Amino acid sequence: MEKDEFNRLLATSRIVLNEIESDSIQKDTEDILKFFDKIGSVTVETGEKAFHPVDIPEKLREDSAADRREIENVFENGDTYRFYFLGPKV
Amino acid sequence: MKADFLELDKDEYPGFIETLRDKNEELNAFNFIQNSYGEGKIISVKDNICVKDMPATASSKILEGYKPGFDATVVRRLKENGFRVIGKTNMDEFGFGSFGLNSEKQAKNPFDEKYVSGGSSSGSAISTAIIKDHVSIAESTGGSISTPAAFCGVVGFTPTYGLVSRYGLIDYANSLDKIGFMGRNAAAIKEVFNFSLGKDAKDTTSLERELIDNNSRKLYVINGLMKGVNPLVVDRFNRLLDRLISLGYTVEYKDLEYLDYSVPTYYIISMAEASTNLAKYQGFKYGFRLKDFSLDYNDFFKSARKEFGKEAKRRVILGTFIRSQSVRSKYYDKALGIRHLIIRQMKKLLSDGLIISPTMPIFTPKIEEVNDINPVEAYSMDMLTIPPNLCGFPHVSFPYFYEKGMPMGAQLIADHFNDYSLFSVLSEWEQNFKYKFAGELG
Repeated sequence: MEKDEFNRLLATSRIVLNEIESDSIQKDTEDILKFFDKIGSVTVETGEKAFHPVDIPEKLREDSAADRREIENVFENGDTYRFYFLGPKV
Repeated sequence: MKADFLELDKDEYPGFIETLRDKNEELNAFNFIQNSYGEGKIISVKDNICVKDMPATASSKILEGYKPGFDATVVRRLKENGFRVIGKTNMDEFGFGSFGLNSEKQAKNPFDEKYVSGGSSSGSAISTAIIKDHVSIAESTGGSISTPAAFCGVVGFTPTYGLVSRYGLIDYANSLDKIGFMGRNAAAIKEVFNFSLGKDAKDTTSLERELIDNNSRKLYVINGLMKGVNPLVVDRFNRLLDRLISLGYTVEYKDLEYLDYSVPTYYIISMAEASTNLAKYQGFKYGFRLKDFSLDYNDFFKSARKEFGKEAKRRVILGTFIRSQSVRSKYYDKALGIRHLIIRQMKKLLSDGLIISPTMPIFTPKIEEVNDINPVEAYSMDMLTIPPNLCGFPHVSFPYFYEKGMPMGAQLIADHFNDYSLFSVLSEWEQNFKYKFAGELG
């Protein structure tokens, strides 16, 4: 992986590294991807994929706001102003 | 067999906590210890599982200061059945590690502090090893229960994927995470497991199924899995097989074609899922607060994520890469296909028996020996614990030998929902082998 490509990946990942960390993690990334390439030799003919290890019947939650504590939890753990929690500019 | 759990009265509790704190200074088992007294059977909980009004950090700086206002379902169910949480246990950051070293306070083995405790549920294993009649609630993604259980000489049980609700778990990889248990014997773990079971409306992947004990006395050893195991570990493991044969079990050696690919398959899926799960830690909602709201969103996000440890950064970067459109089918989609093949192969074998192996391919290493190994070497150490975790099969690690005073663990794997088969074999083993523990606090 070229340095430019790695830097683009860092930007996409929203990770900032110093120079020493960057060199070390770039090397690790290349080694790990080489290790992952091992699966290239497997032929998966069936096209079936295991998104979960066991069959999970499709279930949807009731469309209702039942647990208002969840909202309070967000307020308890973040900076707030009146009825809002504070975050960065979008 | 009846299970015993430690219960203390109001007078005994302060002394116990003081001794536990002293021990914790040496071993780094806990991130948080509860000072105030409460009645109940004592358990500890891994620090990535939420307990109301106790800190939950998953050993990450980015969650420092986060205190959930609710109990995870598993914790709520246990509290309703007379259990009380005495503390939150140390772990590798977000579960990213096999040795208990990816944490600000590196966990140490209770048998000898020079050695690793194993991870990622390092503190759960240590607390179980040193506290009398203890059970700890842990979590496994790729071996985070079996590995520390083996190195610390306790029993570590990981149930079938989906049986224990994950509501309240700080997730690492959603299609792999399983809440499980560490204890000192099969009876204690089974009792806690039974209280934890059941469908949960708050976790749509939770399952309610009838659990089976197929009473199988057939054990399979997978040739491919044994290839990378230290020959001396193989020798000790063969002695275990001899003992099991003398108890009436049969042992058959089998080949499974795709198991060689389970480690890269697991890391591809887990990193892809971890990189999305960690996106919620932005520096203003949970734990660490950056507070510099003058930054635009991207810079704010990037600055907050400096708080991740090195392994977390590595996994976010790789996970982001794997999910990118140009390589998604090469890595992620392919890995899901291979997982399907491995499940199919293993299920066939597990339909009439259990798979047995050493839990780890090596003896317990010293901390200095693993501090500097490269990531691929570290990931490869999980070769025996990954197959059942990747495929959601229930499995248990139990002590079976002591090498120069250090415990060794073996791992039994059963088919989905055959969780009780594991307890039957283990109960029989415990009648024939006496475990040695590192402490008896309480």
